[in-house]
Amino acid sequence: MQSPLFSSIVGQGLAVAMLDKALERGPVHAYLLAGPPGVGKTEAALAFAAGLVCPQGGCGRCNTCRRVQEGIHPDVEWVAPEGNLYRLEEVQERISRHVAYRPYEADSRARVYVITEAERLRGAHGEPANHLLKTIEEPPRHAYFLLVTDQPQDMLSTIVSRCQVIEFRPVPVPVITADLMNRWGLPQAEAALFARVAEGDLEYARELARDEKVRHWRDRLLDMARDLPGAGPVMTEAAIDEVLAMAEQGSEELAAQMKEELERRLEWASDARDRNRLEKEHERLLKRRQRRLRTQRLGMVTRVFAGWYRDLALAAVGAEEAVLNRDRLAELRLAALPDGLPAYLDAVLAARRTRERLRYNVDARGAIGDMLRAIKEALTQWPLS
Amino acid sequence: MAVSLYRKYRPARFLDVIGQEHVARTLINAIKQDRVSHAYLFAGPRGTGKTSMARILAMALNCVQGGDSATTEPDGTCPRCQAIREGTSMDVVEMDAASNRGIDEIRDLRDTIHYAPVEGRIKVYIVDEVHMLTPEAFNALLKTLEEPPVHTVFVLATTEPHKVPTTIMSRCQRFDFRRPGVAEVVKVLSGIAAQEGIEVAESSLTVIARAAGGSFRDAIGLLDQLATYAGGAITLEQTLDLLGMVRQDLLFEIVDLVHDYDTRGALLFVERLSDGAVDYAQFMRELLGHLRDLYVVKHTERLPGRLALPEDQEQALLSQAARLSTGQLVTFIDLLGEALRAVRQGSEARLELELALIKMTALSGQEPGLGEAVVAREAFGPAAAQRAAAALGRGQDSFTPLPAPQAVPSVGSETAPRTSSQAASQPPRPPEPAPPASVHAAGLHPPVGTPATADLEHVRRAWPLVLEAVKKRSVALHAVLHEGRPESIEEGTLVVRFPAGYRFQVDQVSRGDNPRVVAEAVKAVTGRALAVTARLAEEPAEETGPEEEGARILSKDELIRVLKQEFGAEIIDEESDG
Amino acid sequence: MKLVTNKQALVESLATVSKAVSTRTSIQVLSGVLLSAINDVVTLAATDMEISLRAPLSAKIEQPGAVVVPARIVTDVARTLPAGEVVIEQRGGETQVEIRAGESVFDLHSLPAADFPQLPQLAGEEFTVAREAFIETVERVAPAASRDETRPVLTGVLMHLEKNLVRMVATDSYRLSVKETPLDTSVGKAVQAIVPARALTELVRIAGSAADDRIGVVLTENQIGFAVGGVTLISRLIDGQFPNYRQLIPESFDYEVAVGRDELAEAIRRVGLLAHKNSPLRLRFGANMLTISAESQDVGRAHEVVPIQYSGDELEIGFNPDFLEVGVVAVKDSPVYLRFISPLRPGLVKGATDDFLYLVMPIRLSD
Repeated sequence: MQSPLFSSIVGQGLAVAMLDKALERGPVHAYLLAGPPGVGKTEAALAFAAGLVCPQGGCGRCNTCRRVQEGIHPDVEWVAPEGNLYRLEEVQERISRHVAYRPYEADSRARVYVITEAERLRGAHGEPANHLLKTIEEPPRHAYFLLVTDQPQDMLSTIVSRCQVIEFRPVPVPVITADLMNRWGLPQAEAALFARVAEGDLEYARELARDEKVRHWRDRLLDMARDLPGAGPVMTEAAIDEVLAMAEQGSEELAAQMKEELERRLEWASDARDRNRLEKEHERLLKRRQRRLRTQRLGMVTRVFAGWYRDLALAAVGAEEAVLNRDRLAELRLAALPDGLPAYLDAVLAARRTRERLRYNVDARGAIGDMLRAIKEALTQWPLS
Repeated sequence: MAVSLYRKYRPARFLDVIGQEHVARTLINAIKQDRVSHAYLFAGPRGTGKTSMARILAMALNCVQGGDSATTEPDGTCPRCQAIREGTSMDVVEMDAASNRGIDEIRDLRDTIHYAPVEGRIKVYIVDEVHMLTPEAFNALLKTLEEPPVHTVFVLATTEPHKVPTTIMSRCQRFDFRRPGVAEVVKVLSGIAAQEGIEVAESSLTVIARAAGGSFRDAIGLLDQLATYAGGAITLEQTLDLLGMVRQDLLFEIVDLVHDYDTRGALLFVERLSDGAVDYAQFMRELLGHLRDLYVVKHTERLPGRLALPEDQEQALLSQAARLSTGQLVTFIDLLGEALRAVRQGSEARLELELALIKMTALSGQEPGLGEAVVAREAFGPAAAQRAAAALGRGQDSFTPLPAPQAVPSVGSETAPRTSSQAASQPPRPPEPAPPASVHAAGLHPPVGTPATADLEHVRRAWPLVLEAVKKRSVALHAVLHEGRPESIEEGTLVVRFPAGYRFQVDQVSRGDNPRVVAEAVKAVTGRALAVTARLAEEPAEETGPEEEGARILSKDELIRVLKQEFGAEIIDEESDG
Repeated sequence: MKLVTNKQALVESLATVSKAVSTRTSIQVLSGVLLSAINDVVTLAATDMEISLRAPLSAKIEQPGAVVVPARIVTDVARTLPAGEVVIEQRGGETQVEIRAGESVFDLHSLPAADFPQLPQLAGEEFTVAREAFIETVERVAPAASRDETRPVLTGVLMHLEKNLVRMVATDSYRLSVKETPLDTSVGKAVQAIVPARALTELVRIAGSAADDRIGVVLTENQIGFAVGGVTLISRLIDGQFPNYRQLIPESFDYEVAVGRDELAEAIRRVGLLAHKNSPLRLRFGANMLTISAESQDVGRAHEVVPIQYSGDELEIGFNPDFLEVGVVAVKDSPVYLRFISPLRPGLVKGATDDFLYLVMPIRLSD
């Protein structure tokens, strides 16, 4: 019988089966949970951690399981980089310093380190990752490492080689559709549309399902992509402004929300030094979360643009059934020209390049501007005979 | 809870380290003749047994069995051996150079080596990933290696020996650990399976050994994982499932669609895949493998032994191979290889697969060669160049030296900081008018009297940065250029050499505006004004590790060379159907 | 929850547990103190994830319950309250905790007790040991523990319990100290545990002022607990294989010398000023004479002669002066016995009758 801990993880049959069997038959000490964003890796890591720590092996009901899943259990250490990359000192402080200490709570069966964004362990010169090699390979018997990444190709191969890799895959479209219908009560047609648009990214699909704002942005971005070939410079500038405003949205709410939390934390601080530390930590965390939010939003921009021109290419060759943006089929048909295929591909490539650039935290305005110009150029300069 | 099988089966005697008998024998002889060196360098890929061998050496030097001297047969069970195996011995210090890179850490180490061993005879210092030390730390280490106390032995281990300074190298006896062959890995796996009572067919073990790319650790880890997953006997299906292997019929189907130039059908095929939990990158890798098999079969007209397919599939492979033209196969392999490379750099796999299929079916069309033209145009067209220039935020022709290498994640970025500071120290040059299309324009020649060898060294060191600069302008050019290596400077022309068989790459680099793009990058990074030409080497290419094999583009020449090597194939008429 | 206590009791209990409050945690609840009034007992508890402290609070429970309050604020508040009765109350459904004394009323934010780490309920091998003997053992053994976190096992003190003895061992791989202390009762079967040196030091601090003359010890799989004067200190154990110290102590020595303890300690301290890492303190044993010398290239040299009773072969051996001094000082009575085998084998420092041993690794002399 599968542990109830995994019941809320959707569409990851093999990964969940692997983790569940490991709980049942004896886990090894290091796992790498790898797969695209938004498919449930973190959720699975916490569920697995609960299974490792829980005295009943993952009942899903006890106070231990609850606290692990809420992230407040003392025997589950949640590790995230403070800055852009992990630093050696950070890894020493958070992991190596007390990895040899047995679990804190009397009935904990294990101590688990959940290392998020594990690809960032590379650090500046690979020190954090290399520092962990020995620990991960020959840890104390109570210690477990769950590394989580959506960029496995950026990981040090020596780290990967010391982990059992649990691969998470894009969630199948029918599974997302069912999830959106059952969990969020969406009508079938709408659920199917979002499932398809999300291309296996469950989190994005759910966002589209429950957040009207996100749906609105998608519409706006599709409009922009559609109108780009005919847009003059002024319109293009306006589009850039709009896109960037979109990327910043929610950033201030987040800041306000976190400020409130900080105030509460400060009240509990032990002394001025501790307060100072909390403030710094807060600043870093805020910056990080804001950047994340922004990257996520900008990711949506390149994704919607790439999706639109991909769809044009598909429509141009008559593969309409495979179009992502089904709700825009009429417009796609109207716009798609069979001879436009090379230009559409160029446009997709431009969006792809921009996505890559944005990953490295470059100037967003410049990158988006370049993308729009590049796409426009591709679509207008190509002899669309 | 379970100890991983890899730890459990860590070898405890010299000859138990499979595939490294040459190392084991030399060490055994050294012990017999009482000529154990004070410093060893163990070089080799991950999971080939470097740390295991170092620990065995430490046991041999300290085992109680040896009495007052070292033994070739440490018992592995005496308290000293036990402590070493468990990593608790006070006389064996294991440190990783990666997180102890600095001079202070090495000085600390130097201060402690003067203490006598606590329990055993010899203190053994195992320094992992030694190439990560800073130059200052290397210097400090060098001093220690020059006068090691009699009771110490150093084992320096590294996966990247070329980054270890020659001064250090010359103080050490070097051993190269080789990647074991599939058969050797299978042998080890079946030994472990037998001892653990894991039921598993050899076919599954072969699949695992291949997937592990020559690392015992990876292979044993996979076996471990499968044993847990399967519970009882491990079936081939479970193995393929776990490794994300793709159903063969799907591979045949997509190749047929491509053969028919059925763009719509191919895209709908991808659409169908999305209904299941498919790993597109894995699908692409296997498709590439399938295409290579087809190529092999096409040219040998028989199945290479390693494939060992069931009868019906064998027939399917033969008949599909017969239907396809060589040109079509090569183009497809090229496009797919490029798509995979983009995926490795973080692009979405599904999108890349679709792009490759569109190029293959709609753009290469029934006119052979157009596919390549598209690849070339998208990267080299004037629009692309302008875009790249705009992206750099500078004028038409200026390359900027790269910013700090942080933005370029690569393990081997060790040389980058040094080089970029050198580049930065070059006096800024005034902007020049756009050079004429000819590469041999007079203004590009180096100033008279510059020693060409010094220049060459400089360019070689800076080459990774040059590649990065080229990549900013054209990903496709970068992709082909990175297979080459600056070989010489002849009369103001930098010769980039490509291994034999890399005709495609040479052609690409030489074509159109490309030499100038490279020359500009060289100049921007190194300050040297050189023309650039690409040349094909005569001797065969260096062997590429299995890790790379998956995605590397094989040119036609190279494929044929591989065929000849692997299967002793006679190419009767290679152009007959091309 | 509602309880009535008095200012003095509250201040004292808070002071005891606040040593374990986390000052650098990202988990908010760890910067709090758990106040629990359950089963007719009121206790305060705090934890920094390595050690936990629990202290009783004498109070009358009017309504049972438990809650986590911010450690620093509550401590500050308690200190400034007027002397006399203090009422602490959390009304059902509220997150605020009210503290009342005289005319002052404080309403403080709190966190639910369920979010606080569950303090280990220790059930395991239990025994008691004389307080003073235990403190002394810790003070003599613990200084040899390592501070190097790359080998965590060595940052702890090994406690080995067998029959009616507890043996404590610490080593940083350059020296090793061992001391035995009798237990009040015998343990069933031999057990051992590696206890962080820091926990023992903290215990010494608490036990030093306690009125009890016994310390209770409970050992479980993952933790060790000490109870003295009503206070409980619980520490996580360090996992790993502690070096087999018996293996490390040579069975026999070839040389033995007796030296006056204080004389030797002072000479080491003085001459040691001129020793440094690569040129150690030299001890030369000659006929009825021990010469201690040191030379530092950049500073100069020093030597001192200590009269001894010795007639064996001449022997010269090098040591780190600090390591040697720690061992000599830890011997309680004079003379100190020094035993050697050769300049490259470990030396032993011990007293005449004492059950304390100190092993120290020599440094190779360069000539």
